[in-house]
Amino acid sequence: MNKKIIIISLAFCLFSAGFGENIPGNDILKKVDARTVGDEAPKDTQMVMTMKIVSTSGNKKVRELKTWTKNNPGQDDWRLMKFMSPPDVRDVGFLSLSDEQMYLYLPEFHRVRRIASHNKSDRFMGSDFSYEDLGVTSFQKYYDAEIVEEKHSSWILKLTKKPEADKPYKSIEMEVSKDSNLPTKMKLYDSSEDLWKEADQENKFFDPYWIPVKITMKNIKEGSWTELSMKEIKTDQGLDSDIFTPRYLKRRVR
Amino acid sequence: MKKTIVLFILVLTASPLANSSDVQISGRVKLFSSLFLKKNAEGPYFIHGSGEFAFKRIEARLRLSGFLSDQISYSVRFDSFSQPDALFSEWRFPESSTLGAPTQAEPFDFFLYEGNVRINDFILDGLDFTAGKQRILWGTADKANVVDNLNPVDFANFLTFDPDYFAERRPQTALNFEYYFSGFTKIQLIWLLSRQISPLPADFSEMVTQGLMPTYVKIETENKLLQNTNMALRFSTVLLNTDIGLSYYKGNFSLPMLYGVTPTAINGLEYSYKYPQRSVWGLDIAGEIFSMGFWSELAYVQPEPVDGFVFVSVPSNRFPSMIKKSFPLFEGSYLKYVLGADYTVDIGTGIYLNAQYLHGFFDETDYSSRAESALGFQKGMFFGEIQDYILARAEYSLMRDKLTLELGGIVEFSKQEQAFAFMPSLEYKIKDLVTFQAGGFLVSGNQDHTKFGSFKKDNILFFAFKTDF
Repeated sequence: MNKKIIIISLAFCLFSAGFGENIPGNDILKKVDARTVGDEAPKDTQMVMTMKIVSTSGNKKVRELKTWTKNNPGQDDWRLMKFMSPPDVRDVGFLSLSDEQMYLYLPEFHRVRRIASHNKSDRFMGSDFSYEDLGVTSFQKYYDAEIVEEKHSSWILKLTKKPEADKPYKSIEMEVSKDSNLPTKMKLYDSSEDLWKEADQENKFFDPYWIPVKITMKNIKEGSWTELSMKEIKTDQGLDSDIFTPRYLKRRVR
Repeated sequence: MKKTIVLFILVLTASPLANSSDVQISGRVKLFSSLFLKKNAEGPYFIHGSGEFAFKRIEARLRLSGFLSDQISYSVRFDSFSQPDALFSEWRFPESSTLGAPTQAEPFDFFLYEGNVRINDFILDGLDFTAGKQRILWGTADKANVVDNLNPVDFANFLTFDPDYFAERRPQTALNFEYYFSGFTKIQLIWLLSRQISPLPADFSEMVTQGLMPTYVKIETENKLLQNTNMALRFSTVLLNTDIGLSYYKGNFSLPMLYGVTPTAINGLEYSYKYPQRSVWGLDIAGEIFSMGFWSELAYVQPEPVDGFVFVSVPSNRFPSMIKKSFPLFEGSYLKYVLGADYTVDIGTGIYLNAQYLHGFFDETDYSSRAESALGFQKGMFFGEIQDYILARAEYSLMRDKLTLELGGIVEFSKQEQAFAFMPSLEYKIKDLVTFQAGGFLVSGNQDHTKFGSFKKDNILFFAFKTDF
């Protein structure tokens, strides 16, 4: 009898050790949200991004952008992106205020175009990121998470789209680092549950924040990929809300 | 006002090139060429043989832009056009200018497209001021902007059928004040320092005066007085997640209008033209409905009263005499509008669809019925009566946007007749900044009573190479 109890106890201990604190998936997603759009994220961020687009045949295009992001805990973040180079896209701007309010400024056509919901999954300026990928929003708002696996330094979550959510990815497999509480890998599945894209994310600690510094998005269906590298990162600059308006979207950037 | 002028002069006199490290140089080189597919000996707009070049043009743009400080920026764009064919005729050699420039052997035009200085937070926080020649954003529609009467349509380039210039508008010299109450609510005041005049195609005067009898034109001009400048005002905001703009323009029709015909002593005719005044009240909106993008513009046009006239022959006892008959050129105020939507169909990489219903093309006006019968204005002609159109295009990108296929089209509804203009094109990115484009402008439908149908014998194929730097 004693032997039996000891074996059961040992098995329980081993099981518990394997799953650490045994946190529900949604709680981990809450931690991710806290670091990306919540209280533990920078109040605002300013950075220079290099976008490297590599086609299936290996052709490369490099674009440079300036990006400003403002954190609005409880709501979608605001983000303004302005292309600095190459010349054919210089001054093109993208403004994301929420999932329902995104604008694209095309200087060549002198037009501010509103991006309608159905166009949000379109490729952003020929890259493997969609407009929606570049908006900053809460995962919890649109997805339910469950733990698939717990590793020594990360959790693997399966995110399933909530029935009412208007999102292009039906499910997401996300690896979350226990150090940063930020995603390090994501597999993004389309409405037919076919693997559509894969993202690798490199995060770095800029005291007191963890910030993504490199994201590589691979389009599995097309075989192409895009790498976004962040540099000259500045946080908590007290960015004015006015920056995130059509006024700045049209403005030339120094 | 004094302060404004002093600041403006200070900005202009400070050399922007002094800090040359800040100057951004960019531009474009483009070769555009088109061919007529069949012979047209009757016109009305083009007379040509089959396989004859319709247009050959080398275009170069050069833009210099930069900052004098964080709040002051400038932008200058020079455009130049050149054609490879020398200009000479049976009577005239391809001469150079008096300074030796190969003016007719290598025809070349160079002009200032844009040149302006922008000062952010000018005098007040939230007030942006742009002075100089500039393209002013006005309205939300896709090219078919009925509320935009500030930037006149380039009618000359419209007839080149170069898709880059379809309903393209010209920048104007203006003082542009934009005051932001908040990020999304602003009031914009524009003082246009001149009348808005659309460039007309080469030899337009000859085209107007051709006929069986000698004809002349008389164009009403005006002095360059302060009161002969135009202004515009626009208030815009976001309401219920919809962008809304209310605007007012006080200015002129940018295309000349025929308002009278006078017989001359030598059995000829004199056509009287003018650029009448008008006020335009505008409403523009853009938003989303059922996850589909939509936009709409409504323009309420109030033309100044203009007396049209013709002379009619009245039989008398001995000799017929001519009597001047006058009538109002315009019926009164009228509406122009456009309603558009876009959607991406989830097939392959996604087919982008864009469609607009347009009531009133940029050259059309609501004339009085007496003007219609006396001066011959009708639907289905340039400078004619208002009619309806559907403008649509479908775009599909392949090879990661390296190749883009586009099928554009215009359906014209003119009284009982219709015309269809198809504008298929493909764009291939040879390298990142080098593009090859080929396509056509192909017309079918009624030839005699529609505007686009009149180009039925002028179908063209074109190709273009573009390089941005």
